Amino acid sequence: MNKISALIVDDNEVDRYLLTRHLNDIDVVDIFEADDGSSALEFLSDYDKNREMHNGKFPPIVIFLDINMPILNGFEFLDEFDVLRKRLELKACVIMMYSSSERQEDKDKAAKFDFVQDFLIKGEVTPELLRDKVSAL
Amino acid sequence: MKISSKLMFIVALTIFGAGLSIWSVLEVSKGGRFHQLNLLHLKYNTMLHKQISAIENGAELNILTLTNTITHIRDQPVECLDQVNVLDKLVMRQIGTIGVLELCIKDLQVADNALNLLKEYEQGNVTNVMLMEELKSTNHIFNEHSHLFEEPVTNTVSFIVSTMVPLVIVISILISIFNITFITLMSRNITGSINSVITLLTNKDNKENVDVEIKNKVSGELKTLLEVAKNRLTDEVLMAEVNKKLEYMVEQRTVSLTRANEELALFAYRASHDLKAPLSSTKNLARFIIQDINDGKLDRAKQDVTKIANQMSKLEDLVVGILALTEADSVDKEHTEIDLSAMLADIQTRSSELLNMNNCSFETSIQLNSTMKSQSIRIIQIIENLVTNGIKYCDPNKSELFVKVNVSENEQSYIINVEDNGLGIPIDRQDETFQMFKRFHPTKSFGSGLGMSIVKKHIDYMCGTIDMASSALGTNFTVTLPKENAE
Repeated sequence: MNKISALIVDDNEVDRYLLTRHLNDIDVVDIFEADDGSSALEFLSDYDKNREMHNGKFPPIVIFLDINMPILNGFEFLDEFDVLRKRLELKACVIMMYSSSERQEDKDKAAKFDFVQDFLIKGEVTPELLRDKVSAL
Repeated sequence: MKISSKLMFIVALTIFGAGLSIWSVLEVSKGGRFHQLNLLHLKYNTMLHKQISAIENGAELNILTLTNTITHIRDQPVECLDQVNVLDKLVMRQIGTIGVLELCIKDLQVADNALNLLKEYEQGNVTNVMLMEELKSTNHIFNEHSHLFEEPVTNTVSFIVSTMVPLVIVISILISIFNITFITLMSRNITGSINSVITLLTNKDNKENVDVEIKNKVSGELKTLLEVAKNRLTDEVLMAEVNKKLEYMVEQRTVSLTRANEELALFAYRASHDLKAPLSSTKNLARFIIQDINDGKLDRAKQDVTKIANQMSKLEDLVVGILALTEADSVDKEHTEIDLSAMLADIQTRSSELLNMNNCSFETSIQLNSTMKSQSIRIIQIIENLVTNGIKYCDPNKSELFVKVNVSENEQSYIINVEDNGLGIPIDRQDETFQMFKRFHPTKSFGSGLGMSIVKKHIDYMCGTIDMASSALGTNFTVTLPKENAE
């Protein structure tokens, strides 16, 4: 499980912090952070450079993705990522939605992408739950 | 004159003509009846003569038989007098045959005398010889009367036949001709009127004049018919228009209600989302703090406590924002005089911490000819929200950061301008500026995301407009609010 690296895309600093700590609790320590869909996309697009810079940790195995973000929101990110992952070696990368939205339509919208693995609701995330989800990868 | 009265006149004329014909026929038949009565008179008189002759030849004198015969004879003059009316008398007097009536009266008197004599005889006051003499003389007079009666009656009848009948025929013919002419003219008149109305109504060129033309050219029932039809049509057209308007209104209301409902649902969703987020973060942070204290990592615990404090002030901002947004509906709508420079100074005081923190300057200028009169609370909230947004989203990479407020006026409106040299709103998100819970700068997103919604709501309530020019160089909002008397 040490091998797993993660990217957290969330505009809320506190939420990023909370998830990071939860992941640390289950020994996931290689964590990248992005404060918006647009900066996350930039990070992933800089494939070669980041691969070299973050030896063995890039690309991240799992991306935790918030929905409500100011510039490029979660769903817009998913559309862009759908194109990007075919171009770059990102097919092994899965996404877990990380949102406070409990709306079924948001869940359905996310589930349309086959690389979206799960839908985690902020506030309901516990280290135990994360352990189950991550070990299933 | 109404068509019905015209027709009534024709009917009256026809009845008069028919009545005249029937009357003349009755008059002629009356002449025949007179001849018949004379024959009866003669017959009974002959019967009397026979009875008298028989008595003279030795038959027994029967008073009852004689009385009966004379009574029969008496009936004819009575009936004659009954049959004659005033008109008959007039005609007879004119043609000199009125003697017939005198003859009848005389006949009646003679008969009455004879009946009296028979009564006297019975009582023994008159002798047999005297009676017989009188009866013979009576018989003779009756006979004479019958002869005298015949000629004047014949004259009268022939006068009626030769004079009255042709007159009646002529009058009837005249009436018929009059009726035919009258009806022909009338139907032609009616057809003409109907045709001219049809022409008038089918002519599309002179729509305005139709009413006047109808008033001048059409009369009677046709005019009434047109007026009633016109009123009916007008009512129906009006009704249809009213219905259309009502339908349109209902449609509009439904659309705006649906929109309001959708907005409310979205608001509830977004609000609860934004309210829940800091709460659940705080819950988790508190757990971490306990964990860190147990592990002795007090510095990290301290940091987390700061995070909790930030979350709580964020929550507080949000609740205040939601309250302000809700109150925007029920703010006092009175237009009062506003001390604008004092108001702007207050705003500066309230924002001083934020200004110092961001090293941002605040400038105001007022160009008004008279004291501003408007809805004070709305003006405060509009300016304060725009100003604090300008300070919050300042661009630390620029030098001499500023937020400038300028208030001016023209004849109809007040113009409030708020300008900054801050981060600007990303061009592709500018249409979302006034949506609720929108924030465009993640690193600086400490607002509730409601400020611009509140501004927009106040401006909408005051029937004003807001224009925005924003780029990486800064943002410039121009609010135009109609003055009270110009609304």
